[in-house]
Amino acid sequence: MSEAKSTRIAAVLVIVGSAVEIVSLYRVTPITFLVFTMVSVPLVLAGLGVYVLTVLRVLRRTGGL
Amino acid sequence: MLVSAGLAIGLGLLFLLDAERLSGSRGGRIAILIGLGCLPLFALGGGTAHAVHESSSTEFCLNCHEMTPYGQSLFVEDTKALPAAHYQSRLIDRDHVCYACHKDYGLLGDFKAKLTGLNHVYVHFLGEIPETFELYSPYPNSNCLYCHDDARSFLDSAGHRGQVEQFRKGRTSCLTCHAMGHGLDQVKAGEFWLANP
Repeated sequence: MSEAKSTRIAAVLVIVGSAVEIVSLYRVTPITFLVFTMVSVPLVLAGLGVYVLTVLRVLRRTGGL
Repeated sequence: MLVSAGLAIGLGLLFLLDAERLSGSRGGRIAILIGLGCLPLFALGGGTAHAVHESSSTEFCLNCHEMTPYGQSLFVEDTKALPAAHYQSRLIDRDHVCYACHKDYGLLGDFKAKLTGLNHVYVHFLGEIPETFELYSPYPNSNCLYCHDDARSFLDSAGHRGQVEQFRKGRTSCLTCHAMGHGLDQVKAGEFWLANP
């Protein structure tokens, strides 16, 4: 997978996760708390993970590491 | 938290719309680092802190109808009922009254309480709700002693004299004498105390 594509995937995951976070934490109820912990947090963390891996791959390719 | 999440979304969208130009310049790469790395992490930290705080409120616990009698028990006309005694005399923060007594005060107390809460939500929506509720484990003295340990009223009480070490070591449960719990019988009987009748 190209670096541009994996960064795009990271962006989509972060955008969706952050949007779910804003909506779910507008008013915290048991169901919105569940949505935040089970949907938003994993999406944002996955996005961050994909982004960090992409950066590491670029750094390794360009001799930055 | 909202601003960070909003900015992360904005920068993420900007990247999706013009990825080539952003990743082709130093400033653009820094913007991506902030938008996809720093801001989401900051927003997630803030969001988690907000979620933990809000989900510790009395209002949050009483969102589920199963908890209604326990919420009503804060107003029963019997000061032997522990929640009522604590709530009515303002011994604990009324906005976090359930959480103050039902979370452990150890290092992982908040984490454990949230995991248990998630289990409650699961049971509420997908599981079988029991007829009567029981604690997962015997109520620990440490939760009582977190507030009462060096309180004069506790140490001077005739019933506590000579027993304090037993309580601290958990050899004698506080509930041996203070066993009334929530006073659900009074709730059923409709015996309530009102501050401003």
